[in-house]
Amino acid sequence: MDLAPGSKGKLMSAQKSIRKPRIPMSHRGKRPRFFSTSGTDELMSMVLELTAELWVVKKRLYLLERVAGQAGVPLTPQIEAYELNEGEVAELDERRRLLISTVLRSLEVDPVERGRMREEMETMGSPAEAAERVA
Amino acid sequence: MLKDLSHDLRVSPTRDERTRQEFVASLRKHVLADMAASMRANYEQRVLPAFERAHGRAPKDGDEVHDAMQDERYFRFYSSIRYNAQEMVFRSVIPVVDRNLEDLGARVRQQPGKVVVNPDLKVPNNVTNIDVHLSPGSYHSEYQPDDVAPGAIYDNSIHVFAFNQMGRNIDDIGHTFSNFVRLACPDFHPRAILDAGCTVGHNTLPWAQTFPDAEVTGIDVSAGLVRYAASRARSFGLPVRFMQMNATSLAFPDQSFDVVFSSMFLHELPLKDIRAFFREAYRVLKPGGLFLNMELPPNNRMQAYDRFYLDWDSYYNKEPWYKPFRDQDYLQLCTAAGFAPERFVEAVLPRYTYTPEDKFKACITQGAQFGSRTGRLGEEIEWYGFGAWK
Repeated sequence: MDLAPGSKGKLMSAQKSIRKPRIPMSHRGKRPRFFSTSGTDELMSMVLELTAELWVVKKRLYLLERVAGQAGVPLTPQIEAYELNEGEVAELDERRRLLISTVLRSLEVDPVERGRMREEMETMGSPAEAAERVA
Repeated sequence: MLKDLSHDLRVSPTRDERTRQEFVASLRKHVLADMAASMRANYEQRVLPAFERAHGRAPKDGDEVHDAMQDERYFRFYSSIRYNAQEMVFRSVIPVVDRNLEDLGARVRQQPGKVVVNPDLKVPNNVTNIDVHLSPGSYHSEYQPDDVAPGAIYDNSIHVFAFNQMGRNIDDIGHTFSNFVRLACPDFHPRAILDAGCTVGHNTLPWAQTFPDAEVTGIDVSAGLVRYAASRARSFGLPVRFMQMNATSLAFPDQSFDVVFSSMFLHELPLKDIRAFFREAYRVLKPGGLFLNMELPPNNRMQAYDRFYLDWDSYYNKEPWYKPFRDQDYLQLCTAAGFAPERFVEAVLPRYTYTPEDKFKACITQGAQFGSRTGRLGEEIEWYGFGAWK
């Protein structure tokens, strides 16, 4: 088993899985609101997407530790000492960006709703003004 | 654990994609089993007594229960999680299908099966105007020439949606109803069987397995579905033909079929189309033939809470025709199309795949017994069906 840093085959398949699909991921139309407090519906989507992503990672780590152990590789110290190359940094940047946009997807599915939320935020004032109020 | 689909059009998710699909399947199971049970308890212990105190009576229908539940915190969380899980079903399969689209197209061209596509057919508005049950692209959108994306999305998403409760090939409904006919009517030997609104043919193929001498045909309005269905049938070695056709206007001569079947189809249709399909079913059936629809049970036979529970899809899941259909008198729908009232049939059945045959057979003779498990996806679900003999 090739567990060397920057193994090209593994990198290629990872990149292939994060290309943007041509099939739309979101359905057309407005999402219903189940909660009366503004933003709670979006928070629910975020929590559920986060939990899904967390589970994916937990299972991956579980497998990783077992596969490495089987291969006689003491994984933990190697992870601590590992230095990412430029390509790997770029790939992780992209993966992190995708994770964030998935968790926050409920803010983007409906342009009408998004417009309404932006108005609400604007009526709350600029961050500087808000900071002054808090102070 | 979700297994791969067991036919030649299966697409392989990465390990992380499969893990995500398993998460969504588990989330659905949690909300439809555990949370559903708590929500019912919540209703019975608090909401119902409060309603009775305020009105001097119990809620008379699903809408009244729905109104009473609106402000319940538990109902809001249940709905929010269920709605998000529905979106996440599609989000968990679309990237996999998308990545394999060209390859799927090539596989279908190589093994097309028996398929007739009709480029002149107008896909009806109830399919094109909304993304039915939150499925991006609805049942019909194509992304390349001769595309099978609608079939692949449907097949893979229902696999996640069903959380292993609808048969290995999501074909339990087909097995349940074809074997119901075989066991309930041992002297009935259908030679020509039609499945209307068949999507990927997952419930069409069991009819060919149960009645190997019959010629079985599946129709759907979506070209992307029938292309996929035909190739899928071919990979199972079953000579079933699939045609792009609208069930409201069948291109078959009078008296062509012994059985006209549909499953989970009527609730996607506007009432006028249901009526048109029933008239067409009557026309193409031979005398002595059977019209049989697997569907959600009718509201007029359910308790108020069960009506509300099943109608959730109509309120929130982009299934606008679901409740209007369930509010109908199913017997009246049949008689309006020409069927005699005394020839009406209905059944509530356990899942054939998960039930020993003797127990399944015993359930047939019981007649239709409605309960809270009827039509409700879970481990003890019972399927409902109705129709009439011509």
